Amino acid sequence: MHPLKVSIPGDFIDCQIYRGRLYLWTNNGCVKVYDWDKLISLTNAYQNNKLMMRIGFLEGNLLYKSGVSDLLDDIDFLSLAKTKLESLSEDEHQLSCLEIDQALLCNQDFPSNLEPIDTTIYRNSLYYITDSGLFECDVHFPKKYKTQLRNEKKLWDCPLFSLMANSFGQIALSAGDEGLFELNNYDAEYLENKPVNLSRDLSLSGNNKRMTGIPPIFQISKKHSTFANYNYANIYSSSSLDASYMALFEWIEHEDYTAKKTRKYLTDVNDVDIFNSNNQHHISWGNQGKLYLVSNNEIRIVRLHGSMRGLDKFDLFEEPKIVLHSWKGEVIAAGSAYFGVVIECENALVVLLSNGESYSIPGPITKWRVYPRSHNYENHLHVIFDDKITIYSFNNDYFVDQKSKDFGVEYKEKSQWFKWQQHESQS
Amino acid sequence: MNYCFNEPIDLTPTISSRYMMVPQHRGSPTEHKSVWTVSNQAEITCFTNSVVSQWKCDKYYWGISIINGVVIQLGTNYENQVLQIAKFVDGASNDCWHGYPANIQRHPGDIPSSAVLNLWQQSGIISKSDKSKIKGGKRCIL
Repeated sequence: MHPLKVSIPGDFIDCQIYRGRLYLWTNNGCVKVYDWDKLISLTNAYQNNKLMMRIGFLEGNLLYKSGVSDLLDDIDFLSLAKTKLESLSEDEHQLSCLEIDQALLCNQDFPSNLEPIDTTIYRNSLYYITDSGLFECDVHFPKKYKTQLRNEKKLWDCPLFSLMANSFGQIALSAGDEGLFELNNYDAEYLENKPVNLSRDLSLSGNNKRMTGIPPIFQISKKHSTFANYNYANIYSSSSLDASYMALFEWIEHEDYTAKKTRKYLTDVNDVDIFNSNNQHHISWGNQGKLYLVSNNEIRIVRLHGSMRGLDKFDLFEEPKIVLHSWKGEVIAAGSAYFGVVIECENALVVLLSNGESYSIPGPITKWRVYPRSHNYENHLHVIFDDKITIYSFNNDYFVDQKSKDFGVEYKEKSQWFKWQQHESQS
Repeated sequence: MNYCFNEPIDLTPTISSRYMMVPQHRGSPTEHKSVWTVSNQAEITCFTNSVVSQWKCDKYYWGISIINGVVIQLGTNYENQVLQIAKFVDGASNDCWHGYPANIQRHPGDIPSSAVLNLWQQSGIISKSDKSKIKGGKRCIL
């Protein structure tokens, strides 16, 4: 099943989508904020196929929801849904400049006047890395406001490669040879009344050295980190040069703080031990329960059980062969979404879908993003090319058994996430 | 021309800054030091070109060398990687510079500033895609 596609022309360098707003950073120092729902409503496809365009671009979790997903057991509905999605996927729906201007909320100079290297949004806060370090600003103001990014503040001056947030306000920060760090907003309330002593380790995160006051940033590991993803309470740190590793955590209770549990760092486990592989040329990554290693045109998959304390808590799967044609170049990055995994090669993206199919997107590619934390855009893949951004909507995953699929994050109702994560971490 | 390590080289009339070659960035790379694989003269030319082109941001000059339209390898590191970008520093703040091939996948601090990368992109030396890969610490052969 091919994805739906909507394209916006322009010279962009980064993107985010959050609560009905599309954020596009341009190559000339501006950020444009669009009303996403209005943008989609302007497409011709929306006029003729509102429901499928809503599912594709506005409410990606609709067909996952219990009750609604029961419709997919109806053979006629299933066939109709697939037919409509296939039909919509035949065209790339390109928006004109006039059309996209109708949905423009603001066009402002980017705060700090520095280009973002990486960005993430959590609870109406945009966190971003620039040449000068890590910053935060507020987003998602009323639509009538002329500026949508406000109140910038600098959090840290360490040079970083990338950042990734989880659903609890913790943000993994990858700093190359400086190692892996974490901005821990989740524990900030607990730490608020604790004395700050940066020369001494704090017991809250095990033996992790604290780097800053408020918000608290801790060093998780000194091992090389290029990018990172969260796996339940743990962080999987991927390296383009050295061994990748899983930083393991456990949930703990505090006598002096009974409002909630917090995480405590335990140890690192290298990918060589996780995947039982000593192949030097590979890249590995993982997100929410599944870890992947790609090397020499093959892929290994590990499923996690709980917090992976003890290496008997994982299953190594058979290795389905993948074909990465030589013109695509070496694998340089990767990520996971519900609809599958995205492998970035030097010259193309390869999407291995949860239904067993694959989809290639030739480059050159400036940036790509998936949104597995999102409530509405979990089926999106955003790809920035030289002269446009294309929003791909992959809708194969609704028709796949979640527990048995190889590629992609297993879908669970969002309301169950936290309870499930804590339960799994303690099992 | 023979050059000695740790001795400032007068580069007038081309530029007023002086340049010094340092031994730790020649020979075999170590875990923490990359090395030049081009000639001494090529290293100096790379620096001179950076200054003339004003590929500078904050305290550093950044260099790249192009021969016959191709960005060449300037050095290598402990992992035997191809390094194509040079970083030049004025350690003593006396306008006497030295440099080394930047280990861009290992150290975020070895990555040129966005301002310099934008100049290279505008000049057609690198693409927008290259710039994004470099900033993200990803493998990127120019």
